[in-house]
Amino acid sequence: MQHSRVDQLIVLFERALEAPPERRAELVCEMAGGDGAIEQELNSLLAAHESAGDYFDSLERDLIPPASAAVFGAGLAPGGSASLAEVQEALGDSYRIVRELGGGMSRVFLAKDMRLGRDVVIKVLPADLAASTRADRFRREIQLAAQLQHPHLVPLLASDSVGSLLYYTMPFVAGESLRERIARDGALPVRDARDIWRDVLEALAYAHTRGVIHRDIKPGNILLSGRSALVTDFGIARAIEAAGDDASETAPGLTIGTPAYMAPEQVTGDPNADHRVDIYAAGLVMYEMLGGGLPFSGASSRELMLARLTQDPAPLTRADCPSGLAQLVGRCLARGPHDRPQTAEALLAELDAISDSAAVTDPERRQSSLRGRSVVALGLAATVLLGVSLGTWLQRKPRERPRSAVPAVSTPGPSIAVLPVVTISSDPRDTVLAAGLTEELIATLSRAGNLRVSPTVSVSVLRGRGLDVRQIAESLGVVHVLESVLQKVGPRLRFQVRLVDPRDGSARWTETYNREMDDIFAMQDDIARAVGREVGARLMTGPDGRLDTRRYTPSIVAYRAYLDGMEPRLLDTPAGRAQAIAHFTRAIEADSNFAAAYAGMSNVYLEEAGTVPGKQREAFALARTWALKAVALDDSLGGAYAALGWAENALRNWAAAERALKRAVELDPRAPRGFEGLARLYMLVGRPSEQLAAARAGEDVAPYSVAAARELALALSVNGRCGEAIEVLAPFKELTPAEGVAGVVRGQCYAAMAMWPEAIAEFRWAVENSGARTALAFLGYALARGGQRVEAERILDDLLTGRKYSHGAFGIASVYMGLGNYDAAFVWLAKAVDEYSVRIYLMGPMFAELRRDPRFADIRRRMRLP
Amino acid sequence: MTESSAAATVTDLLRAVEHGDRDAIDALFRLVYDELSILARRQRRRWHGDLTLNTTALVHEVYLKVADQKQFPVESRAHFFGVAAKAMRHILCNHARDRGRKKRGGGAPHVTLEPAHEIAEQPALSDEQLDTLAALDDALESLERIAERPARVVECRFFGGMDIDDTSAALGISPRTVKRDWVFARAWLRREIQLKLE
Repeated sequence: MQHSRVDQLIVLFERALEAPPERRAELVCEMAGGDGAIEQELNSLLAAHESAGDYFDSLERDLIPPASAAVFGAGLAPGGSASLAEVQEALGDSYRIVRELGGGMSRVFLAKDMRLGRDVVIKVLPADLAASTRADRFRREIQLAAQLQHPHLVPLLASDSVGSLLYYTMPFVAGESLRERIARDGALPVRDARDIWRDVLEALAYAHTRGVIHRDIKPGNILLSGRSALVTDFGIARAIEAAGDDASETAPGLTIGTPAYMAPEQVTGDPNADHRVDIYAAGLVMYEMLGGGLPFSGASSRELMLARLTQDPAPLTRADCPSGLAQLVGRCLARGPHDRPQTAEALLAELDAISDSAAVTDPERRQSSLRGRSVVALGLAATVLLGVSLGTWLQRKPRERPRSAVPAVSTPGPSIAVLPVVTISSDPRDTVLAAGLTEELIATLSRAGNLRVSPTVSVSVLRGRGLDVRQIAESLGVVHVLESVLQKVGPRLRFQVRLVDPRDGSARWTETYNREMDDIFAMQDDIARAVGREVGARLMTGPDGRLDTRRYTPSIVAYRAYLDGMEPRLLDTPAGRAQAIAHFTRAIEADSNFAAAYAGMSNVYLEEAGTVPGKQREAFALARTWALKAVALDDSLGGAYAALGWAENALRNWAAAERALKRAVELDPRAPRGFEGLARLYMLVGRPSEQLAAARAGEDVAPYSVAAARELALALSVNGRCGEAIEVLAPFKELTPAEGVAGVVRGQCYAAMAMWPEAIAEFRWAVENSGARTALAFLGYALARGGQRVEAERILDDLLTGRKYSHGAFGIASVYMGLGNYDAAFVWLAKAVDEYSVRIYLMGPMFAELRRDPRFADIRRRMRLP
Repeated sequence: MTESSAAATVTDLLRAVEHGDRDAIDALFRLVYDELSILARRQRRRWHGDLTLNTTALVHEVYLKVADQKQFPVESRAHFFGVAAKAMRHILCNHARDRGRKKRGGGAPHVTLEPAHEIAEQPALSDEQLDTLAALDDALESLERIAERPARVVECRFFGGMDIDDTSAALGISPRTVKRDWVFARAWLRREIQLKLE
């Protein structure tokens, strides 16, 4: 037949099939149009078609695999073809097989361990796998895995070989696998999914710190028993690979696993693949629980494998799933391991953070949450607020945080607030030591897997307001409060700790430590351990059983110098900053690998940069250098990345800043600085919703902190919610430099709402706190807009002549803007960009009109803004 | 051949294949064949949980190994699989013929490709299976003579495990045509095999 006839035939054939069967013969006759050969051809093809589909399916199923096995010599028949009886015979009297449980490639049996008299699960490795696996090595590897003991891990009991059978045993856990649950129910309720995921992540966190990677995390390996989820087969994949016959011939890296759940680096056999493959797989499992299926499409296992190298996972689109959770899961599925949450521990912390904020959206709570309260008639309310005197404000009770006031269902486990250590000492340096001890204790306890620790800043603010133990505990939503007293006489320390019941202030537990100064690290360990025990926290221990404190330096001299440098008030004045630099220098001299000291140095320069006219860029660059060094010394130090992120931000390296800050947040999700940095970054590059999310996260982590509140207020104002922004900052009316900045932000919000008298009042108030450097210029702006041009021009004159300084060129530009002289404003703004005196407020509501001007495009370009 | 040089070669070959270079097709064919053989030895060492070994898996595996995915546009990838599918068909069917011939003894050999590495064997196929494979191969050859395009579709879909879109890209035809050809070819082959085996 010629080709054109064949094509014609193919088309006619298709058409015939489209017709209902009873019509076909007739249609064929029509189409053939008298050509007998075609008619016969079509009819015979139609007849063959009936069985063709099934036939080829059966060929594909029953012929091709054996054929390829015959050719490639790689058949993987499960467990050999041994019958149940044969297996029982091989096992002998030690186990009595009750029934086969089915399974993947291994055969799985429920059996009774006759020696121990309990139910066990026996997994028999497939015959040829067993053949190529050295039984003794396998047993040894299993022993390592058998040391894992965790409530969410099914432990391994034993491994043995009998005849040609190689098997391992584990306790029988009643319950179904997650695979079965999903198959039956489809997607799970969000709460269930989260609970299950939490258990799995805890098991992973535990095993990873012991250096055991699972490599085959999947729903089939997660058992649901009672209210817990348990992970099975931990360490098996490794055991098999390690005990493989011809290890050199196996593809390097972690190729063992189930294709559908393999991380990209497993698929490509990357030899550097590490525990993060488990993070990826865990992400997939969560995705499946929430979405009912995997995010990649592919008809076969291998297509699925290939898909994750080239496809982006389809985002979760589940209405009742908090977007933060969906995003978190998405990050676990990042193709590059560095873009995922780096540890199960960090992932758990983020999961908990999301759970906490999800509780805020509970409608019941929203009514009592100040943040959520709708501010009706903003202007009116604000005026009313201001009508009340400052004095009344100062006496106002701290803003309640309903989320923490009632320990929410989604924040299980113990919680503690560590009150600042009190000193009884004549040496002022001991105050610093006490602060350091507090900080250390908080840091160590924070690393416990299940303990929620209130951050220093929150506790000290509340303490500073004179609240008692009960009020502090209530405000922070913690169950325990730790008080401590430090006495130091020469080199001898006396440290007394008390665990206080906040309801009545009684001491539930108390302990006194008498130690030498040289012994201070050991003492801190002991205290953390003891407190951990009392509150039921699970503290992390390293492989040698010692507490995982990551203290960063073995040198006490360096440590004390570091503590001296970390005194927050030093950052407020030039003299203080010089002192801080001296302290950190001493610390580094004593221990040149002390990463945290480098990070501290970076932060000082960052702060310094804002104040020295003409030297800003240099200072920022120095800050960056110090931070880079800190990161190089210890890339697990969240504070180092935070410092780096802020420096990159200042230097307008937006992408680098984002990377560093995200890493900081991952490494240290309970520290607000990373979140604050992200909020700033997003404000500059114009990503308002992400800015708000980051600011909220920072505020959640450090409630009552003025820095966090300031970021939140800025984020709210950028998102057009100036009234709420003002409310957020309402409690901060202390006449301190730190809180003075709150006035600047409040003033801007009022200015954005064209409430000039109020704006002027706020800026004036801020000016009285010299820490708010932009306040004077903004006051000028507000005065000009508010009709008091004469005074505004006087301020401008002061700035132009250098009598006063308020952020250099940027401040001058601001006043010109207020006076309506946009030409001059832009000239000075350009100068500000060059001298790096631009403040973040440029992207805020007060400068909105300026940003709409076409000349702003040039400013954007100079600042490398997207 | 190192992995990077393999990748470079494959890229060059595929480019040539796209330009219709027949020698390139043969060269690529051999390369894939060799890779599949190496793969076979490694397969034995691994434990893939739920994965069942099939030709698709092997072809993808080879692809992962030799292909520099960053450089491969979709069309090239599809071409690769198209060639690999052909290689797979020949490997399986030639094996069947060799086995069959050895059983029956003597006879002029088909052109067989010498594997670069020795492939150890596992459970042998039954006579019936061997006959079916041979019949399939013959039928495909007959189809090729009459209608080449549908035969290629069968190679891609049946031996290469490629989906409609991949097949469409590999052969440069529309998905609609792929579907049509597939339906037709299966019926045609079924008829042919029935005739042969009866």
